[in-house]
Amino acid sequence: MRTSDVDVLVIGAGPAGLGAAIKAKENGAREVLVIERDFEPGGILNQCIHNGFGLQYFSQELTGPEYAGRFIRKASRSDVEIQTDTMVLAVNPSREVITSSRHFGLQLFRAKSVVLAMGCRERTRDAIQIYGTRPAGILTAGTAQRFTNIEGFLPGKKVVVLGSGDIGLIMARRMKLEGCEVRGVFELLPYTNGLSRNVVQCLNDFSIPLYLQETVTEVLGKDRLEGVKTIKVDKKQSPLPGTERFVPCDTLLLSVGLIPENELSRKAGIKIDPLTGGPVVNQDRMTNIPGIFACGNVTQVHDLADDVTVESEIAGTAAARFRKGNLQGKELSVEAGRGIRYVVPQRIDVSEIKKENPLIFFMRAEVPTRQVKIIFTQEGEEKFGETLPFIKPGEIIKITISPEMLKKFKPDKNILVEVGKGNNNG
Amino acid sequence: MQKFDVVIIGGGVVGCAIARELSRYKIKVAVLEKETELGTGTTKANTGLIHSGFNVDKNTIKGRLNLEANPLFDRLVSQLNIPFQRNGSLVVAHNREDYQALLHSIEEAKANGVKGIKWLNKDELKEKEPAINKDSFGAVFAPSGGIICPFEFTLALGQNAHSNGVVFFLGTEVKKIITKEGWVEGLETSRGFIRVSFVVNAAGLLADTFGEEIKNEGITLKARRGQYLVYDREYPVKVKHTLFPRPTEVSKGIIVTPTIHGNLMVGPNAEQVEGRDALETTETGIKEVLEGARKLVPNIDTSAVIRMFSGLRAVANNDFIIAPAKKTRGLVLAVGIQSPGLTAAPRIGELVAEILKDIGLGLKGKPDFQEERTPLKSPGKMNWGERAALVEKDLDYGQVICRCEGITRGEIRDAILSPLGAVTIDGIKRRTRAASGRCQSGFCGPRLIELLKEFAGISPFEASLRGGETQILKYRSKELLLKGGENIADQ
Ligand SMILES: Cc1cc2nc3c(=O)[nH]c(=O)nc-3n(C[C@H](O)[C@H](O)[C@H](O)COP(=O)(O)OP(=O)(O)OC[C@H]3O[C@@H](n4cnc5c(N)ncnc54)[C@H](O)[C@@H]3O)c2cc1C
Ligand SMILES: Cc1cc2nc3c(=O)[nH]c(=O)nc-3n(C[C@H](O)[C@H](O)[C@H](O)COP(=O)(O)OP(=O)(O)OC[C@H]3O[C@@H](n4cnc5c(N)ncnc54)[C@H](O)[C@@H]3O)c2cc1C
Repeated sequence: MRTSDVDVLVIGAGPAGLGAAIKAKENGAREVLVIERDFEPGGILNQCIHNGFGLQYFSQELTGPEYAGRFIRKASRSDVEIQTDTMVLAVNPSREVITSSRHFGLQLFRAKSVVLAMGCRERTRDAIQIYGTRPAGILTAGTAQRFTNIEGFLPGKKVVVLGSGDIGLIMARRMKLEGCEVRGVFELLPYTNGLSRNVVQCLNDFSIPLYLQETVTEVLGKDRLEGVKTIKVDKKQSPLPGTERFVPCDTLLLSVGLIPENELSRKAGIKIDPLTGGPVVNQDRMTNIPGIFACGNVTQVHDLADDVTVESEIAGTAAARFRKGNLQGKELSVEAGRGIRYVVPQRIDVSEIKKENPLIFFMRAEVPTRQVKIIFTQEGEEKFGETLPFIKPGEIIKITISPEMLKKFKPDKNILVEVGKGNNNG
Repeated sequence: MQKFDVVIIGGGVVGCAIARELSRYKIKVAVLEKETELGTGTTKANTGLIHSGFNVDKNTIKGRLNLEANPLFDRLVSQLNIPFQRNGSLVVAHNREDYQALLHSIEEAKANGVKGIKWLNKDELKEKEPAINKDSFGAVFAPSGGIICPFEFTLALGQNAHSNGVVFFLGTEVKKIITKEGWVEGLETSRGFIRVSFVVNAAGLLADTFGEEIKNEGITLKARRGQYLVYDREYPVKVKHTLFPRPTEVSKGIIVTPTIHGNLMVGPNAEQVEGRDALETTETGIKEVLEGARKLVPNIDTSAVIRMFSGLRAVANNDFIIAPAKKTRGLVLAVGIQSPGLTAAPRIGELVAEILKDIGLGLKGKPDFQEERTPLKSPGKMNWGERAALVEKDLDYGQVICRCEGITRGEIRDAILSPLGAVTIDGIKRRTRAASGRCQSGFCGPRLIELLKEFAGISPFEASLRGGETQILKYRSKELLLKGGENIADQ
C-alpha cells in the first residue's frame, strides 16, 4: 500500500471540504489533500443548478455549480491537491486515513490533522414507514435531482412531493419546469421545513399546492407507482379519520430529512451529538479526538452553502494551526435548553476565544415563534441575550457574540441556550 | 428443437436445489423461470433461518425433511462457498405454562435427534442474550439453528447446477403442460414449446396457475403473508441468537434475529391474503410484528428501520406435497413448500431425484460433477493487505460504488458477468449487497444504472428494479416540454 504523510487531509470536496482546504493552506499548511469519492469536486452543489447561493458570502446570487466553481478554482490556484473518484474507507484516532480508488489502489495517509466534510444523506421511505407495495417511482428528492440535473433523465411525470424541506420545494419547482404535473407538496407539520424564500419562489410562484398537516400513509401500484394515500393529521400529528384521500401519481419524491454522514466518524471513535447527528465540536470545530475537525453538513445540516463556508473556514484555520500542536485548553459545554433543538459548537474554551474573533453560535428552534429573546445563561444567570422577530425550525439561527461580550462569561461554567420566557407561539 | 430429460418449473430455492441434485447425473436438465432473475418469489422474502427442527412433527414430510436437512448445511455451505452461521435458536418462555409446554418439546426434540438442545433458566438466558425481556421465564436453547442469506443460497445452488450442465431459461413462463396419453410430453412456454420426458413443478405460490394438473390432484394453494422490518447495522439494539416465542399450531411466531449480514430483523406475522401478489406491508401488520418483537426484546423501536417487506407462504394443507402426480404421469410435484422450505431444500432435491428414479428416469452419476462453486470476490471482507493486493491486480475493486455497504465496481461487474448474472438493480443488490444499506440506493442508484449499461448493455430506460414495468427512468430531461408539457401528463 502506498503510504504518504500530509499536513492536512480533508474528506469530501463539497463547499465544506474545499473551504477548509483553502483556509488551511492560507494558514501555512504545506501539503493539503482533499479526497472526494465523486468524479468531480463540488459536492451536492453540482446538482443544485438553481440560484440562491452566495448572497451572504459573495453578496451575489450564484447557482450551486457557480458557487462551487469559485472554490474549486481557488483551491487549484492555492495548490490544494484534490483526488477525485477516491473513497475514504477508514480513519483512526491517530489520523491515519485509508483510501481506495480505481486509479491509485489503496493508499494510506498519515495526516497531522484531518477535516471531516462528508456532507449528509437523505432519509428514505422505509425510515419513515410508508406502507404498501414496492413499485418503481419512489425516490428521495436529492436522487431525483441528480437524475434530472446531472444524468439528464426524469423519473416520471405526475409527481407528489412528501416533505417540505428545501430540496423538496426546489424539486417541486424543477419538475414543474420540466413539464411534469406536480400534484402538491405534503407536509406533516403545520409549517414548512424549508426556507421561507423557497416556499414563495418554488411553490407560490408556480401555483403548486402545499398541503400542511397532511401526510402520505401508503403507496399503491404493483410494478409502477399508481398513487398515494394521504391523511390529514391534528396538532399532535395523529391521523384524522375520514380525511383520507387517494392522489394518483407515478412519482413520489421524498424530502423528509437529511442525516449527517458519520459512519467514518463513529468508527474512528468520534463522539456524535444525538441532537445534530454530527460530531460534538468546539469553537474550532475540533471533535473529541485531537486533530480531527468537522465542518459543513457532516456537523449539522445547514440551509445555506454560505454558512457552510463560514464554518469550513473556522475548521480549516484551526486544522492548519493544529500541526504545531494541540492548543486545546479547558472547555465548557454549551447546551440547548427550552425551545432550542440544538446548538453548535457544543463545547467552547472561553479563555482561548477572548483573544480571537467573535464567536458564532448556530442553532435551530423547536417551533416557529414570533418576537423571541434567545438567552445564554450560566448557573441560571443571563449572560447574553438577543431578540429576534421570528424563528422557525427550517431556518438556522446564527447568533454572534463579540469578544467584549464573551468576557462576561465565567470560564468554568456550562452555558445553556434557551428561548426567554413569555414568548408566544405562532 | 431442444429436448430435455427433466424440466423444473420454478427457479426458487426448491427448483434450484432440485437442479443441483439432478446435475450430479448424466441427464439433460433445464430450469424454467418466468422472472429474469432466480429466487425472486417466496425465496427472496423470508426469515432466512436454517431451523434446528425443534418441535417439528416428524410424521410430517416437512418435519422429517427439516430434521434430516439441518445437519447437511455445514458441508453444503462449504461446497457452495456461502456465508452461514449456526448462531443458535432460543425459544423463549414467558410464563410457567410456556415452560411446561417447552420442556415437553425438549424431550421430543432429543428423541428426534436435535443436537445439543437444552433448557436455560432465566439467568442463563439473560447471560446468553442480554437484550432479552427481563420478564422471560427461561428458554430452550437449540445450538444447531442457523442463519443464511436465502437469495445467495439459491443463486449458489443455481450457479453450481449451471456449471454442471443444467440449462437455465430465465424470463420464460410455462403456460401449459402438454400430455399425450396421460404422459408428459412437453411444455408450452412464453418462448415456445419444449419437449421433455419428466417435469417437476416447483413453481411455488403459482404452481396451480398453469394447466389443471394441481387442481386435478385435489390441491388448493393459499397465500399466507408475513411482514418484516430490517434495521440499520449500527442500530444499538442487537441480538446474537434467533429468538422465538413459544410456537403455536400454525406458526413459529414473530421472531427477533440477526441476519447473516449483521442487521437486526423482526417478523413475520401470519395473515391469510386473497391475491397471490399481495406483497404490500400494512400498518396493522407492521404493528403486530413490532408488538410481537417487543415481547422478546422490549427495546425495539422504529428509529433505525432501513427496510420493510413482506413474503408469501404457499400453503397447500399442513404439509409439503412432494410426490409423483397421480393423474399426470411423468410429473412430480414439489408444491405447498411453506416453512421450513429453505431448510428442507437440499433434502427436497434428493427426494425428488428418488421419485424421478422410481417413476422411470435412469440416473447414472457424472464422474466429473463439480461440487464446489467459486464465490465472488469480496474485498470488504479482506484485511487491508489482501485488499490492497487484490486492488493492485484489478483496479476495478478499488472504486467504491455503494457507500453504505462499501461495494466496489469490480464486485458489481462480477455479479453482472458471472453465470446467471444480474440484469436488474435488485439482482445486483441481492448478489453484492450494493443498494441494500441505509441509504437504499440514493447514492449508488445512478451508478448502478450506468454499470448495467456498461456490462450488460441494458439502456438506462430499460434499467429496472426487478424487471416487468419497474423501470426507474421514464423520460429524458426536456422530453415532456418538447411534447407539450402538462398536456401530455393529462393524457
Ligand atoms: C439538494 C440540496 C439542495 C440545496 N440547495 C441549497 C440552496 O438552494 N441554497 C443554499 O445556499 N444551500 C443549499 N443547500 C445547502 C448547502 O448547499 C449544502 O448544505 C452544502 O452543499 C453542504 O456542503 P458540504 O460540503 O457540507 O456537503 P456536500 O456538498 O454534500 O459535500 C460532501 C462531499 O463529501 C464527499 N464524501 C462523503 N463521504 C466521502 C468519503 N468517505 N470519501 C470521499 N468523499 C466523501 C461527497 O461525495 C461530497 O462530495 C442544498 C443542499 C442540498 C443537499
Ligand atoms: C414469511 C416467510 C418466512 C419464512 N421463513 C423461513 C425460514 O426462516 N426458514 C425456512 O426454512 N423456510 C422459511 N420459509 C419458507 C421458504 O421461504 C419457502 O419454503 C421457500 O422459499 C419456497 O421456495 P420455492 O422455490 O418453493 O418457491 P419460490 O421461491 O416462490 O419459487 C417459485 C418460482 O417459480 C416461478 N414460477 C412461478 N410460476 C411459473 C411459471 N408459470 N413458469 C416459470 N416459472 C414460474 C416463480 O417466479 C418463482 O421464482 C418462509 C416463508 C415465508 C413466506
